[in-house]
Amino acid sequence: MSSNLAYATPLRRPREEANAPQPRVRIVTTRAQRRSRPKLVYALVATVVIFAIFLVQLLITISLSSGAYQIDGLQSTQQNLGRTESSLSEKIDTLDSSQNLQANAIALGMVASSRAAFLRLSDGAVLGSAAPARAVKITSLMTNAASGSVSNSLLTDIPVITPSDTLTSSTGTGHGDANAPVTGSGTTESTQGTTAPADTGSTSQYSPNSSSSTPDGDLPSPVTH
Amino acid sequence: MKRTRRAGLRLTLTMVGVFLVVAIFTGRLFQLQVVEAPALDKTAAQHQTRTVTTPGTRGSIVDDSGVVLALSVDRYDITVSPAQMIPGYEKTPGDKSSLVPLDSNLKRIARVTGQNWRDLKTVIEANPKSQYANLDKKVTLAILKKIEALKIPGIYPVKDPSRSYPNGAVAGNLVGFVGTDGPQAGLEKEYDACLAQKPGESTYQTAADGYTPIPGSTVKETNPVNGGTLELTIDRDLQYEALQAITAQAKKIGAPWATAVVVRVKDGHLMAVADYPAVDPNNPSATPGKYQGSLAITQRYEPGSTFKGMSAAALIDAGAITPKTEITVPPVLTLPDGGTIKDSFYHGTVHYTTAGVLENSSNIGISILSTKLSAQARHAYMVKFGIGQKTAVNFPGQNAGYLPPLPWDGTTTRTVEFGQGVSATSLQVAQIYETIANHGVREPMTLVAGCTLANGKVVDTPTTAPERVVSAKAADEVRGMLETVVSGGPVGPLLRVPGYRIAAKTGTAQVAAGTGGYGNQVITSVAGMAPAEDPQYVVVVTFGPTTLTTSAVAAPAFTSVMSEVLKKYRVPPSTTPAPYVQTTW
Repeated sequence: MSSNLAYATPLRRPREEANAPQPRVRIVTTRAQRRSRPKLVYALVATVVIFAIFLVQLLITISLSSGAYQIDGLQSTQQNLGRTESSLSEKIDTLDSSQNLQANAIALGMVASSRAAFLRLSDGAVLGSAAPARAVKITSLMTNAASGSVSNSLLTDIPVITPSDTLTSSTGTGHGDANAPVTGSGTTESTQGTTAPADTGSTSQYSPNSSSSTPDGDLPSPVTH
Repeated sequence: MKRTRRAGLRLTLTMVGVFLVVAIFTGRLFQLQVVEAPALDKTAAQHQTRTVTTPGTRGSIVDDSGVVLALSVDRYDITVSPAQMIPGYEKTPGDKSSLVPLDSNLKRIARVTGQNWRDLKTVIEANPKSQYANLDKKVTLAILKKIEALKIPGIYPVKDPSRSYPNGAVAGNLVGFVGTDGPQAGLEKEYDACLAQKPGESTYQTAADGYTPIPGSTVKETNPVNGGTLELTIDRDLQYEALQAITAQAKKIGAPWATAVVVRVKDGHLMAVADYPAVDPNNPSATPGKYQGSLAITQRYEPGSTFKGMSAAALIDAGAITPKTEITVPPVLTLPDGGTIKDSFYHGTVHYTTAGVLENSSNIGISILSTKLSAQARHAYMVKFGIGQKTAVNFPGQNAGYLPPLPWDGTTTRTVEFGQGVSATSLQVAQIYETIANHGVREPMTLVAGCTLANGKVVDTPTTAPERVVSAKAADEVRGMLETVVSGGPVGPLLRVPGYRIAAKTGTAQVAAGTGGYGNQVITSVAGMAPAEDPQYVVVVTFGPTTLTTSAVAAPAFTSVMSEVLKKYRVPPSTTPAPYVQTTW
C-alpha cells in the first residue's frame, strides 16, 4: 500500500562535527597565504640552530673554565718563580755589600792603596803619589764581614773565601804567604819624591826620567795611538 | 545553549588555573627577588666570592749609583691548622699502617726551622680544635721550600714582607729601620710617604675549589701601588770608607762618638755622612738608642776653631780686614768685662797677619780682628752661613744648632768668633766650608736626590736655591789662608794628602762641663777642602769628647777620608804649588 500523504520524518540528530559533511563553500587561501605558512623544514632548522648555539655556548664555557684553572696554575708558577727571583736578588745584594767584598779581598791577600796616582797619557807623566800599597797584617776582625768594624748581621752565615778555596789545584806556593801580598814591602817607601807641592814648592808633574818615584828610576812613556 | 555555557565554564576554569599558577610564580619570584634577596645574596657571596688583598711592595732606598741600601724582601710565617695536624696523616690515604703521627711531623719541621719540637707541640696543643696556630715567623724562602717539601698537610704559609738592609751598618744611621709598627728612624721615617705602598684589593667569584676565580666574575679590583724608590746622594763605597776611617780612629783614641761628612762643592750633595757608633738596621737593638740616628745631623756641639774660617770670611767680606791685616797678639787677651782669652799654646807677643791667625789658630788673634766689625753685622753673617737654622736636609731630629741671640755680652761677642758659646752640627760646619769652597755661594745641603714613584713621577727633589753668603773674593782669600794651615801650620804635616793641595782648619773645642764652665774634655774636628786650587770636595770629621787636647787626633781620619774621596772621584793631583801667603810681620 502506498500513501501519497506527506508525513514528516523526524529530524536527524545533528551529527558530530567530524561526521558533518564538508561545507560546500570554503574560503580558498591565496597562493601567497599558502606560501607564508610555516614549513616543517624551517622549524627543524631553527631547532637545530638553537641546539647548536646551546652546545657551542656550553663548550665555550667549559673551555673558559678549564682555561681559568690553567691561568691559575700558571699564575702560581709565576708567583713561585717570582719569589725565587727576589730571594736570589736579595742574596746578590747581600754578597755585594762592602763588608763582604772587603773581607773576601783581604782574605785573598789584597791590600787597598791609600795613595792616588795618575798616568797622563799625553806625555806619560806620573801625577800624584805613585807608591805601592803597603803590606798589612791581617787580623780576624778584618776578615769578619758580619761583625767587623762596620757590622752587617746579614753576613753572619756567609763564609769568607780563603785562598785555599781558590787554589786547590794550583801549586799555591806563590800565594801561600797571603799575609804579605806586596813583595818587597820594605823597599816601597818611595813617597818622598812625590810629596805634595806645598812641601817642595815645585811642580808635582814628575816626568818619567827625573822622577824618583819608581823603583827603577825610569818609566817608559806609553805609546798611544 | 547548554553546550556554550559548558565551554565557557571550561575556559573560565582554565583561565583561573593559569592565573593562579602565574600568581604563585609571581609571588614566589617577588619573595625571592625582593623580600629574601639581600639575605640570599649575602649567603651566596659568602660561599662563592673571595676578596684578595694584594699587599704591594715598600720602595727601596738606593745610593747615588743605584746600589740598594734598603729593600723589601719576602718572608713567610708558618701558620698551621692544629685541628688538621693533631691526628697526623696517612701517607697512603685509607691505609692506617702508613699513619705519620704529629710528633714525628713536628720533629721534621723543627729540624728545618731550628726550633725545639716540644715548643711547637705546646703551641699546637694550646688550642687543639683551632684552625690557626703560628709555628714560626718570617722564615726565608729556602726554609719555606724545605718545609713545603715535607708535604705535611695542614701547613699554610703566609707571606709576611720584611725589610732588609744588604749593606748593614753602611749608611744604617741615615737609612734608619722599619720595626713592627712601621718606620722607626732615619730616612725610612722621614720619607715614609714616598716609600710606603698602597695595598690593592680584588673581589671575585670562585669556583668550587674556593679560590680559582670564575672568568669575568671580578666584582671590584683596585691595583696595589708599590712604594717609590728613594735615591740618596750618598755613595755607598765612600760611606763605607769614611765609616771605617772614623771607626778605627774613634776606637784608637777612645772617643764615644765620631762623624764624617763629605760634601760635593758644586751642588752641596752629601756623598757620605758617616756616624760612629754605626747602627746595623738589620739588628738595630745592638746599638744604643741615642746612637740610632745620625749624630752628624742631630748632635750639636761647640765647634771651636773650625769657626774661624767663617769669621775671617765675614770680616773680609765686610771690608773690615784683609788677609794681610797686621795685628799684635799678646800672650793673654783681657776683655773689657774682665774675661780673658788664651790660645791653645803658649806664646809671647807675636805679630800675625790674618793668615797667621788662621794658620796658628789664634783665639786671641781672631778676637782682636773681630773688634773691627759690629756684633750685629757678625751675627748677620753667621745667620747667612746657616748657624742656628736647620739645613735644607730633611732628617728626623735634625738639630739647628744654637746661635746666641743679640745682644752678645763682652765675652760671647769674642768667643763666638772661635766657636765657643755657639753650637753647630757637623753638617752645619760642612755647610760653612762648602760655602767657602764654592766661592761664597751656599748650595743647599742635599741628602735625597729624589723619590721616583711607581708611576714614574719624581718627587722630593731638592728645592732650595743657592744663596750668596760672602763675595767670591772673600771666600777665595779665606781658602788661600786655610791652605797655610796645611802647608805651614803646626799640625800641617798631619793633614797632608800626597799629591794634592789641601785647605783645612782644625778645631779642638772644650766641652761644657754642665757646671757653667768647661771641663777637661774636648771635641776635636778637622774641616777641609781639596784640591785647594779648585775645591771639589769638603770633608769634615769630628770626634766626640776625649781628654786628648790636640787636634791631631782627628787628622788621620781626615786624610784617610780625603784621599779616598780624591781617588774615588778621580780628582787629578795638584799641578801647582801653594801660593805664598804672608803670615807674620
